[in-house]
Amino acid sequence: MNSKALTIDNLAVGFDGTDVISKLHLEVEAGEILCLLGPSGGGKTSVLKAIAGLLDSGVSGQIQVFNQTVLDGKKNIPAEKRNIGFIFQDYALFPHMTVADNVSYGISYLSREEREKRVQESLSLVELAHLENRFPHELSGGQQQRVTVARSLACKPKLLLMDEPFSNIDTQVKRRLMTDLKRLLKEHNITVIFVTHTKAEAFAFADRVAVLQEGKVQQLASPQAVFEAPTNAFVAKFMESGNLIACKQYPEVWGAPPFPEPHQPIFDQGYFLFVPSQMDICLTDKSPQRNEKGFFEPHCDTNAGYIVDKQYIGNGFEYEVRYNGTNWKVHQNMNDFQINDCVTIVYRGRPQWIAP
Amino acid sequence: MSIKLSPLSLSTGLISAVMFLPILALLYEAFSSVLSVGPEVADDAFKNIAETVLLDYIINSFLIVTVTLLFACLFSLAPAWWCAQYEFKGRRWLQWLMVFPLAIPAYISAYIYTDLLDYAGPIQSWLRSVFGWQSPADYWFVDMRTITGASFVLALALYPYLYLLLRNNFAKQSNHLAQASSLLGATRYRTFWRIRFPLARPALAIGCTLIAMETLADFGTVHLFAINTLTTAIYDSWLVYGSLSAAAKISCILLFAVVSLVYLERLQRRRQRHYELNGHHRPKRHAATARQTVFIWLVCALIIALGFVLPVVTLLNYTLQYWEINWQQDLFAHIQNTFLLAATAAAIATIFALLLNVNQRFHPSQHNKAKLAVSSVGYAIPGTVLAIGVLIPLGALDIGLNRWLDSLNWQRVGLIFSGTSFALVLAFVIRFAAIANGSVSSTYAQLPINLDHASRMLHAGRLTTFRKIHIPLLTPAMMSAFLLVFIECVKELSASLLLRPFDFQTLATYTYQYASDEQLEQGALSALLIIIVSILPLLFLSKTQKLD
Repeated sequence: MNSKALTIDNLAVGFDGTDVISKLHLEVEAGEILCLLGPSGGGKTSVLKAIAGLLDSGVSGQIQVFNQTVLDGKKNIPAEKRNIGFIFQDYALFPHMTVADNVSYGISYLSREEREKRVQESLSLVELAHLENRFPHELSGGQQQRVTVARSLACKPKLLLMDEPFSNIDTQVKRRLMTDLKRLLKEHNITVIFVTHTKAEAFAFADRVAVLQEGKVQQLASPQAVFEAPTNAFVAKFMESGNLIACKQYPEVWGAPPFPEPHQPIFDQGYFLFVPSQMDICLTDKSPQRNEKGFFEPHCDTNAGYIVDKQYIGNGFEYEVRYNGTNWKVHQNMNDFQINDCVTIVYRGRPQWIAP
Repeated sequence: MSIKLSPLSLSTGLISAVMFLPILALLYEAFSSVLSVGPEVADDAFKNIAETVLLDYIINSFLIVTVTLLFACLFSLAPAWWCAQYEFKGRRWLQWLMVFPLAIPAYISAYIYTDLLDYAGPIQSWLRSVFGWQSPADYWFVDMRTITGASFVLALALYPYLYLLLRNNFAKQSNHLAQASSLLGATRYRTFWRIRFPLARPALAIGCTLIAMETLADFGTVHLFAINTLTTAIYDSWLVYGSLSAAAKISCILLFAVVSLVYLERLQRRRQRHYELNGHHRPKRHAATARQTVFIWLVCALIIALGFVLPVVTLLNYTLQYWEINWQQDLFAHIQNTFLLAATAAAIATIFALLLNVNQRFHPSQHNKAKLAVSSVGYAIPGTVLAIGVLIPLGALDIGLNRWLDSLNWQRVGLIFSGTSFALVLAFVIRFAAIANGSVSSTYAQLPINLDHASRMLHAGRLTTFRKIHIPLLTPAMMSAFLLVFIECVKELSASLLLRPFDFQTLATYTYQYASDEQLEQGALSALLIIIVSILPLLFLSKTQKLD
């Protein structure tokens, strides 16, 4: 049996003649948590809305949810009949209804006893059974978030979509909420697609990450793979994987380039990725001197650079070194270097070749 | 783009067509005789007016608008600045009391001031007895029955529009701008004229255009003072000369002036939105000294006394003095007529507003947005103009219906559209639909679209979403829409005078009839009733905004 929870084929979404998404292909396994990650305006929310059926026009392609076609050239099943859960960025709790009424809204077809039982079960799952008679404005942001989760779970959706669900929650509560929610979703084997533009959220919550740019998937892999082995410069830059140095050809000083696989194209232009944690800096003898205007100015050797910025990053320092016209970020545990110090850079290992 | 022909789409299309019908009818009536040739359609009434007095009417209208604006600025600018910038004892009450003159119809103030300041009035009589003057030739005294007098009275009734806009603007201006100006060496005087006042210019322009529109639309005051303006010309063309075509042509001139003002107002609103982006840091009010507090209270109290207290006290005095005449059986019939008419129009306007807004909410598109906009144009049309615009198609409909009945040898039904309350209800709905539309639209705008999406994701269709989510959340807005339209209908005079059926009075026409007969004493109770009803939204506003 096909274990695909969602199959998107050739999806296109356009508004006012502008394509937001074009030719998107995506597959999500049952029980998986997939993160759509990318900058604002990259089409992430549009993908969610297309899956949910909230786009009445401007959408084409094919979408299957658990082998049931919800969108193709002939049909576009309305949102209310797709049995997909949706958690909105602003929660969209009905302000005139109590928590219990909000949770029971989508299960009005059940008998009263069944409905009350389901509401209690759902609220218990998110540990809010004691607040069932409160109104949304009487709850904290985290509690409101949990109510939306309970409201969605009460309908027993096959697929749950979450649009930037943690963006309105402060950092302290967010971590706990993400852990609890992930455990809950995994326990109930619910397939989730969630949207964020924060890589930390993607790393903490997702099984796999799809990096989107201008409606196209740039890379689909585990969070670790996306961060450590970005497939192109956009992903590397967005994930802040390291220093990207544009090269027309492999410089000889760094030895032979990684041997390309037979099916990989050989780029004549691309980038080298230098991971900051694998770089070291060493002081040279020269110290900065005042120039004719009275400002300190490093006079380093031709093979050395100088430190232009220094930041404490918790487990060490991030130094920014100006070398040969390029700024390099280097992570060091030591607080031994100061701005304007002349330093040389040493890279431990081999840089990774990144396609443009 | 295809347009779906659902029942909702069709009904809202029909509503907006009906709302726009008066303008089309006016344009048709005005230009059909111009475009046609032949002596049978020659419009002598308009020709006579155009050749003799039309220019005077236009000049008078322009002068009244200009002088009213000057008075309105005088009454509103300083109080708005004080209430926004200074903290003093009783500020919260004062800033709302300043709005109360809005509840007094200008023609009532006009009558009261004329009565008070006329040759036979108490002030001149007292002066003559004190100084021994024998005749008007012995001294000079203010003549209220002039353009300046009419403008003074109109400004007293209309200045709160400008005051409210300016006060809000001053209160919302960013404190950082004034601080930056001070740090750059500017005095408070220079900061006001170079920073604060230019930022308030859009609010000033919007307030002035609103007052100008209301002044152009006024009929009661100018008619009472026998000043000929475009509104009185329309009234006379129809009721004196019996020329609908002339009335339509003059209406078009007035409409052109109003459309220009509306355009100006929209332009300034856009600019104000741009200016408001700066207002993140609200100014902290300066504590006023005791002397400043007394001065502020004296000036503002004088304005409130002239605009509100004096008319109300006078009307109360009239009512008590002439209680027997005021308390007559007719009054109850007029109250019943007015309230029934106003409630019907308010209910229809609210339902129309709901349909138009729901349509735009569920099917957002440019043409649905246009339907909403078209349905709101009536508010800009002066009542007299609107009355003519309503009369033209309804009259034609009545004539057509009776001719058709004649052709079938059936009995005629008479003027069932133009000669009954139907015309008045239609005019009220068209005139005040914008208020209902605005009330519902603004609440809808505050409801995130995600509420609809969430409802749909929880298996609810559009009808269920409307019933379970929209209706409960829109109920306060619908109630306030109903209330506001109801109140406006109770106050409305210009259209009512032209469209009321024979032997039918509303409270406004009843009061005005006594005022124009110089016997307001006998209609004082009905005038007070209008004022009490008009104060309701002010009390409602003061409660919801907690006097701030």
